[in-house]
Amino acid sequence: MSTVISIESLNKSYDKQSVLSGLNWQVSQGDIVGLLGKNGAGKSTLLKSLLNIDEIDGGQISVFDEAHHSLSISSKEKIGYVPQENDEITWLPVTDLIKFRKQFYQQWSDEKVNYYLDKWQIDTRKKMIELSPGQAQKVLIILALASMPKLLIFDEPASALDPAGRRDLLKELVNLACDENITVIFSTHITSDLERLASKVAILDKGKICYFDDLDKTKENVVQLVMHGQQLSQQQIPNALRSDIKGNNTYCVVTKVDLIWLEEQKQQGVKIDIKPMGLEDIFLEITAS
Amino acid sequence: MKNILTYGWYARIFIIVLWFASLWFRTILDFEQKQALLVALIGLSNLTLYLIVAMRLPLLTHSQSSAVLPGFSSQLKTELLQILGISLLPTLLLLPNFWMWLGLISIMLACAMLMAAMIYLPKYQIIFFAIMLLPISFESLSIVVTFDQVMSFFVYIFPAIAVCTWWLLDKLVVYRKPSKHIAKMMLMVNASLDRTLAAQDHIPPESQNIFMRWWGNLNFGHERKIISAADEFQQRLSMRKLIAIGCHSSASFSRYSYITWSLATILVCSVALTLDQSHYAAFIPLISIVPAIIIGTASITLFQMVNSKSSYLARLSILPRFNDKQSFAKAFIKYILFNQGAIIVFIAMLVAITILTFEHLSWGIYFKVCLLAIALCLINSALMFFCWSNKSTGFQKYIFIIVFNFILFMLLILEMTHNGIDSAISLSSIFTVMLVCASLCVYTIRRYLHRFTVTV
Amino acid sequence: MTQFSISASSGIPIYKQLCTQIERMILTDAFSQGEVLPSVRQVASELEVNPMTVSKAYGLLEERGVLTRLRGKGMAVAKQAPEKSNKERLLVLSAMIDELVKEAMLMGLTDDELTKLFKEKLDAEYSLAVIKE
Repeated sequence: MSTVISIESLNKSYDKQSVLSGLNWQVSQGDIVGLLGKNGAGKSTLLKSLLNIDEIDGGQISVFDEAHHSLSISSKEKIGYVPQENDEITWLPVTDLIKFRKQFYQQWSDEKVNYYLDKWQIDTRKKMIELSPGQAQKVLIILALASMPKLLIFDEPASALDPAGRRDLLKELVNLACDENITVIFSTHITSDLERLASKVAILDKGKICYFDDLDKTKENVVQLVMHGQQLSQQQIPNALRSDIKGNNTYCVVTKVDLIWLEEQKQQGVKIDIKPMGLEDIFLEITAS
Repeated sequence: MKNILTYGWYARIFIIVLWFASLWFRTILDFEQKQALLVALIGLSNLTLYLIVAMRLPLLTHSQSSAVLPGFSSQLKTELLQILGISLLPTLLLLPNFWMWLGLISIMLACAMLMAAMIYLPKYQIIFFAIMLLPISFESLSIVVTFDQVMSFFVYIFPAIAVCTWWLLDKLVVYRKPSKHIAKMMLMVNASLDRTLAAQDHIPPESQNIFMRWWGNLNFGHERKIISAADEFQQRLSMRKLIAIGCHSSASFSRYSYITWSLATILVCSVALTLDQSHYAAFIPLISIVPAIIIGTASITLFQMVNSKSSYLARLSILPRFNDKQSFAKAFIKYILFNQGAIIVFIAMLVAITILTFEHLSWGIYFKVCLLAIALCLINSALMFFCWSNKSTGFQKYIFIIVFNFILFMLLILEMTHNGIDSAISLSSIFTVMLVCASLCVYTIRRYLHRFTVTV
Repeated sequence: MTQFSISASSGIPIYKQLCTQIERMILTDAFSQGEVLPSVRQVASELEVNPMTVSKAYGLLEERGVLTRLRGKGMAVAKQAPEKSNKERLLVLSAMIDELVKEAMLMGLTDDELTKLFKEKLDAEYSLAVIKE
């Protein structure tokens, strides 16, 4: 699969405070990536930087194999972005806002726009300011989808939506992923949004992408080991993230189970249980400390 | 609480500057001559203060904490009394003249009451208009009222006013009605507490009053028509136009602002034509200050609008319509210069019309004033581009400088129209100033463009 | 339409949950042999999961010989020898019993108590089946 986004040693700081430092990341075509990070970890900054909305301090970013600051128009047409905050013009009715946005594109699908307006029951005569936050968010999503992008970037897509609206959006993304081989990146701090949909999970922490792997592999690899009747320190367990000793047992979270080590332990008669972990716990373990 | 009641540095500085100005006048000028000026200065500063405090008051009296916190109302009362006390300190400057001092205090108290009443119950606004119309009605009924008579009147009713203020203050701090009106009011005040004018656009239509809604629809109607027409005929709007629509707000100078101001000017001129020439002196301050205010506020408004829209503009700049950020930046520069240029030309025309009617300025001075206005716009544009060419986002200090420029410009204009000094500022010095401003502007524009050059 | 149910927040990958569920449904005859399963798109859209996840589950089951790919029709339940199927039934059950035994050990139940409980439950289920008939 071809690489859609490639980031090398990205640095970005705001008012002398470093947000991203030496960040490397590659996203392949067709990936649906959930970008996880705590509040203030720099998820929005990363997305805005790679879109060239924010200027970067250093590093290379390429999107569709072109430098991100000099994208060709045809590549720009292939990108859809939904910002975290609704900063659209407040006084325009939805229909005029759509016409306004259309002015910026060569490729624009009115059918698609109407399909979603209909589906999400948005009153196009209403001004943006009169819409509920959820509806306004949907309008932003429609604006991003109207140019039929191949790369969709959502910054906290579900933040303004109620649970039903969230489901709607996720469902739509599933359909899009089915029909067109699009690449989606969405940032969130809510793991449950990501678990159903994402094929990959990236975790942004301390200015770097500190973890990036298949969601399924992540769930298979990152597990909790319970060693009954054993007291082991963290150094004695391969790939350990954190270990705790409670009573006679050792509880340890590992990023990957070392099968040879596991076999050795079993032969020594140590009873080890492997317990799977939910993504939320995995996220907390990886970003802890 | 005092912090909330007097929130906003511009207003605070404005009031304090006026107080210091009166102190200064008191020390250097002949007291007997300038009494009226002192009264006017202190009066203006205190009226501003009372208006601000009155507008912020509902935030406190109608806040949830007012019902919950014990002793809230008594604390509010002390704070209000303190503010009132401080505001009355500058009146001490009048002191050798005890009579006038008492009169001014009495007027100030009456005004403070009126302001609060107007904010809480809009029906009292009628009193305000009645007072505004008083001088005209006196004039038409040929009743002669002297300054001293007014003062004596207020001195005599001072005890009544003082008692009334005390009683109303007690009532005010526990006042909780009318909640619906206050809720609207608070929304507007919150918007005004926000540092940007853009907040006005975020007031939902159902909370706006009829006039605001009407003006908003009118103001934006033109832009909406442009968009619809372009879509219908499959035209592409120019990049400058697109940016202009993106930055448009209810506070911007729109087509209807131009029409309104033109109509107002024509109205003033036609009224003047029916009057005797001897009355023209009353119009002169109005027709010289208003154009200056329009030019000055236009830059501040534009600057604040663009700053509040900066994230949106950044988002637009990556859309396929723009080849790269450079072409966006160029279109943006065009928008700013076009916007400022249009206002200058428009104001120059308005002033020309007033000169034709009132003949208060010679064409030589008119020319100089126009050049100075252009210089002001150039220096303001230079400041704005300098701010935008920096990566850091702080822009408050630039607004401060722009406001300062604006005040300087106003004083200059007043001086020029009052004394008609032609010789004080020579044409060559004005040209030098213009040249400096223009080169500064060019430099900052280049600097701004340079920010978006891609270094490979 | 057959309803699958998954728990997204559990630590078990969704494709694995789907695999076990489909296998179990085949064993309990919720899917008969040769029956065509809902399409990847249908399942993905209904469960709001990534379609790749569903294809992965289907692909895995096809590898194991539980499903066969029909050209142009999608996936169908493979025709299997019944005795092999019985063996697999026991395999699935044994995994579940493992869990149960583990829990019982943690609770400190004795062997006798557990077997007694198991027998009781078995009897109850059996008598219920008799009543139904």
